[in-house]
Amino acid sequence: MAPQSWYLIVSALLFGLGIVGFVTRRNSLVMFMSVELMLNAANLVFVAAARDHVPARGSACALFVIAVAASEVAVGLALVLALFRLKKSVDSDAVRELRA
Amino acid sequence: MLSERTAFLIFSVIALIGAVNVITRRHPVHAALWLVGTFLGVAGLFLTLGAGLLGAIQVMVYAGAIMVLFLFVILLLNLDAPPDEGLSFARGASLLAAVATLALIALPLARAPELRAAATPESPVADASAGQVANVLFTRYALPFEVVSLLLLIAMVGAIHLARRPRRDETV
Amino acid sequence: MDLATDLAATAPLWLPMLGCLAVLLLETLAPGRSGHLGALVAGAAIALAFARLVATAPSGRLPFGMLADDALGRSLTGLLLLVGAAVVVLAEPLLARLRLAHGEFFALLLASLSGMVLLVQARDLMALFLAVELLSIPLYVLAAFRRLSAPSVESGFKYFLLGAFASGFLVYGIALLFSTCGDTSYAALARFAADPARLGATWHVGVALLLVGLGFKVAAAPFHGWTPDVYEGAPTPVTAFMAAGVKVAAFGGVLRLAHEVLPDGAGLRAGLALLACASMLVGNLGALLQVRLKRLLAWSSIAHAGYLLLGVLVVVAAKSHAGATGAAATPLADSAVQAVVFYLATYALTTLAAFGWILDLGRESAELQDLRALRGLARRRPWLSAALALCFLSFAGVPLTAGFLGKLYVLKAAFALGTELIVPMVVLAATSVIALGYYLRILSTLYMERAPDENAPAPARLGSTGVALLIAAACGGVLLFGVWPEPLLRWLGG
Repeated sequence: MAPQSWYLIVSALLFGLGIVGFVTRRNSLVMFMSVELMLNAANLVFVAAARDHVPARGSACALFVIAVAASEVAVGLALVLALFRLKKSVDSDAVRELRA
Repeated sequence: MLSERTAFLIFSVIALIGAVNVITRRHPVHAALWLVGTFLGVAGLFLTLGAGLLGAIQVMVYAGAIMVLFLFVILLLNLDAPPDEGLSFARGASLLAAVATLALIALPLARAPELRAAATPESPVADASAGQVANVLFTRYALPFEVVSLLLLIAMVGAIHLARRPRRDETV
Repeated sequence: MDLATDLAATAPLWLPMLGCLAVLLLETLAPGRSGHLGALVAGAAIALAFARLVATAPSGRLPFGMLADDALGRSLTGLLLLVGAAVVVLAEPLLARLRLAHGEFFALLLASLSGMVLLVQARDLMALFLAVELLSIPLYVLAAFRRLSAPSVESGFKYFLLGAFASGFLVYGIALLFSTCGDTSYAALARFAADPARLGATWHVGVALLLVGLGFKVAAAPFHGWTPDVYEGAPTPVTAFMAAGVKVAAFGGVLRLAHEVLPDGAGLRAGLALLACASMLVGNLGALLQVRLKRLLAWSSIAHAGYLLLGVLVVVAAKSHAGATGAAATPLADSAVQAVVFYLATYALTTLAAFGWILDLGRESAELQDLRALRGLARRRPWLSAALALCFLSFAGVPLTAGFLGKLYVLKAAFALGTELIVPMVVLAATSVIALGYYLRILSTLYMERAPDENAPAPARLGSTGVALLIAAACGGVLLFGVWPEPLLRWLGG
């Protein structure tokens, strides 16, 4: 059976790729997908770590994270739509109305 | 029958290749499709960990509902071919910062003694079956469970407010 | 696990939730007319919650196995409910004028408020995470509530994008902490952390990521990038809610973590000191450069996050002061907690008055927010100008205002530890002088300069009695608690 540390390494890689994606991409939809990578990485830690303790607890925590991700997606995509209606762009750089 | 280690390797390679492609594909639709790959890979990892219920939910909610929503919005916006995303100085700097952050997180983790210790050898693992998860959800985590219901409701209300057509008398 | 007792003890949490549902129901029963009704229902729900809060004493129990029913939770809950009520008063006339009087606004507001209340009472990382999300997600929508106005939508969008990024850090930190001991409750984590030998890299990285996630929420440097843009673009009542409510709630969460879970350590101290100093410096230097009122308040709120973080640092450091002076440590940490709570109360009060002022003078548009528009205002609007001057004096920490005592108590708690925290204390003193500079600049604009056109009509006001009364009450509080803080201290102390 694969050691827990292997799962943690995969999850750390996923988390890191999420961060890199968020800071390097300009398309807000892709930035948002990178955040989903980070949340998935956290879920992997929850489930892998819980295996040595109370497995159901890890699943329950991961379930909450999935529910939160779903509500974030709903609001986030609605914001993207509202922004696109005004700007005709989803580039995070297009958001420049508010400047010092 | 696959051994658990083989399954782990296959699923994590799927998840990681998907993730790399999510952040490197230029077109958001391609990124979204690769993201489905990552979600499926992670769902597979959940299965190898004995969390079957969570794997199923991951496929249904993430790979199903959330990704469909993403694709739906991308297609609705009907984006043209995206402009070339060159690596400007600012982006290069932020990439460096991200890698540095990653190193700061990963290096101490890699040296952690608790990780280097071999896994508990073939300990009998209790599965996170649907019954057991429900048991935890409705006793220990009953309050967060209720809070999540309000969260989903209010997210729905908010999304509708933002996305619906403006009323005729509405002004800026 | 007695459901009835738990429900009775947590009425201030679920009454706003219930109010949220009631407002939504009203919207379906009386579509289009639910704006004023929504405000009424929201106000009633908050008032009921506040009445329940005052009528009962903290039991020290653990409702639902993961909430706190103690003095800290109650005083912060009370503060949050007052902020929520004030925001209802601020929002109602503005929404009516913008013809945006939809019930959803108040439903979102109440949901966010219940998230804040949950955050200051949470004693479990999962409750903490969901509280942060429940307060943030409605707030993203509220910031973008004027969905046809580009600044408003941009503000909500920016807040959302960085907020979602921050929640990634927060939840990964929580997952790492969970992986150390297989539990999310503060009690279990504190038991685990009691033995320093067990705290490996996983724990430290987990704590660091958790603080990064919460650092975004309290707008601490270097995670402050979103603050000026989001504060400026959001409708003013929403900005007031962000500035006062989120700050109180997120610091409440951090305070409880620092007090109950996080063990003192060189790494944690260095991290908190770094955040505190960076926030004080960045916030005050940034504010120096601003020419618009809301942006200036945003930078000053970053600076205030720095002052408050010094208080949190004192709470953490006071714990191991125990080793040196025995039983004296717990009172030290407790007095530091009280200092931070007092600071939060004065900050919330002053912030509400300042944003109420911006709203009252109809400064929703960017041109009117220009500081030059304030030239010579004191001659034409003497009372309002005095109110704004008082707010800025309190923000700057001038004696006889509540803001002064807030800073004083935090410094006093830091002094009790001797010279351990001398660097951030010096930074606090130095940056307060910078702050005095830009606050006084505004006062001179108000009082010393002349308007370019003396005969032009004075700027129109919003004309809402509620808003005017709110400004008067908040200013009265700033003055009163600046000279006679005992009632507030007693109330906050439980």
